[in-house]
Amino acid sequence: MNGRVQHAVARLLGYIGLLIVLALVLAPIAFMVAGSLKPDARVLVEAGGLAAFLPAGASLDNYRDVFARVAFPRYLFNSLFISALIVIGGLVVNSLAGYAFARLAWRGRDVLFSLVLVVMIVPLEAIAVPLFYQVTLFGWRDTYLVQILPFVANAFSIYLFYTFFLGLPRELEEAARLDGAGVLRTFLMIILPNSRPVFATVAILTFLTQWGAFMWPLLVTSGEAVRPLPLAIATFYTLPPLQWGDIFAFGVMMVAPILVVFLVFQRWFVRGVATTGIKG
Amino acid sequence: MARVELVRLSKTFADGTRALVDLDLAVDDGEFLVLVGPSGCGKSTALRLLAGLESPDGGEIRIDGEVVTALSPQQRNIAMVFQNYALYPHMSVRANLAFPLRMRKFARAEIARRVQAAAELLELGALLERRPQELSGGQRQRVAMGRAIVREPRVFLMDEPLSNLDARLRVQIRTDIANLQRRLGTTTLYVTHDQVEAMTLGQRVAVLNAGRLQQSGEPQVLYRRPANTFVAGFIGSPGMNTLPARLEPGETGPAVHWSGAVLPLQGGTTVPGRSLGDFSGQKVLLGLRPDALRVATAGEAILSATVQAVEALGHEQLVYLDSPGGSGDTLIARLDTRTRVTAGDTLPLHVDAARLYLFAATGEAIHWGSS
Repeated sequence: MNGRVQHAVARLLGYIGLLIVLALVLAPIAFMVAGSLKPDARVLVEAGGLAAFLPAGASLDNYRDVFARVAFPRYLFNSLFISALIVIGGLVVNSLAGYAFARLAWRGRDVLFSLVLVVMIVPLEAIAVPLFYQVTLFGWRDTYLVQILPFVANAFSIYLFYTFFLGLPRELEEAARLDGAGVLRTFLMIILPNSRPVFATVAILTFLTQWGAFMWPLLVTSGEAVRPLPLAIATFYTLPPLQWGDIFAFGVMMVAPILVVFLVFQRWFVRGVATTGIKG
Repeated sequence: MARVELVRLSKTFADGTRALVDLDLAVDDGEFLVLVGPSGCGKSTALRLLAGLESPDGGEIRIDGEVVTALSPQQRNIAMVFQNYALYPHMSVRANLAFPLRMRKFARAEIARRVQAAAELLELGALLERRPQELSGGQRQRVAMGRAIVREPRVFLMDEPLSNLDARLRVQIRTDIANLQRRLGTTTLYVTHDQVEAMTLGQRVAVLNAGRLQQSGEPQVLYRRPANTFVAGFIGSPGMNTLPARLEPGETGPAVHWSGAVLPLQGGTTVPGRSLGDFSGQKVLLGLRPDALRVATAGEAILSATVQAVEALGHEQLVYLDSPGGSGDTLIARLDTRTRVTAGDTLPLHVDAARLYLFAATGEAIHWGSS
């Protein structure tokens, strides 16, 4: 075999490998979409074969069911509202904190930054009970605030901003200072426009995490007024009848906004993953 | 326009590096001063202290008599051209030039007028809408200059502004910078590690080493009358040879004994405050410019040396010789190309006795040759 043939075979094998991975990733989503369009009785029956992916006899009945059974628009608004505020607040707070850690000299900076690194490895589950106790004392149960405020400042986001800002040439900021810009203006006019990738990365990662939030809202809310989507889909398991078609339809509608967000930010996100060296 | 004074300026970094030690230096209104020295000598630190990007541990910075040591960079009205230009990548050339004016709240019409004027001066007119990454190195350099001049600052600082350019462009822009500075008449501090750049650009050159000022003066003065062996070796291309020797009294006056040769001092100047007699019978350092050596004609050879290597430059050749006397030093001679020289040859050498320099064993100059 000469080199060219070898090269072509290697490429072919590479593509086959990628196709397998792609199929594995897409299969559950295809199953969900197909199932959401089928009569409920056929969803599980056909789940064992290729028919699982074919929406024969498609109808929108399941979607109608979802709207009839729960106040879907209300939950959707709650989820969007909560996630959006966490993302926006998080971008402001964490980028400023990351910048302060990366570039400004102040007393106690290094100690505080080590604390941030420590906090990064503490999962929410570990502090959920004391936090629950605290917000109860504040009288914040059953509000948007209680679902937003604890998640705005985020150690991992701060760390991502920090590493990205460290990589920016210091001379840019020094030039801006000499040109007459103060710290905040330097940040807004020079740093921010050159940091889109990290802003996109943090926005997407935050949004994904918050969109799927389940445990905390379950602890601190009751009723549909302020609850997000994941709690609503859970009611489909707990309140009979258990209808898989409805659950799949709900799932499709819940995943759609994530895809939109990702598509909008994907170009920067990919660059952000490349430049911050993190895995999505 | 401004007079800049650095008074006993000191800076030690957190890691213990003493970047500057009691630097005293004044730059006159409109003067072009070049700070030169090897990397790590503190020259960039001096510039950054003056700009306000670092704060000194001791000493004072004055601009036109006003102490600015505690002022922030934006309050000092100083412009700086960075080694990597530091153009704002997300802004067009026009926006880059306008930025310092916007920050200082100039009227829109005035900003447009000044940007236009700077663009014309630096021939940037056709590039105004481009982004920095679409420009060549030389163009970026000009934009950086433009951003410095638009707001008519009191002082220009330039930190190795040519080091990212190729050799030919460097010579071209070197001339442009000198002309521009003359036209604008703005007090300028220019930092470089390249002594050729320093000699060609500076009205005055200050040589720094290990955080200390070695000497400052007009380029020709540094070349002819170096204050110590460091300046002698740093200024000139290649620098002066300094070789261990002894000063002894001779029949016609003091003579330098070097590797068995006796070189009577002829002419030249004794450094003010020094007396040759004080060094009689002592070890000294003999300084020889590479062009004070030549191949001896019959009968005038003073000593001979073996050739290590030859660099032919076309109109001349640099010949690296084993220093006579087996001290292990290398002696560099600048010879014309009429004599064919190859490595391994032993050359009879003649030394121009009028061009001998003498330094004390500590390095300070004692005697300057005439050159």
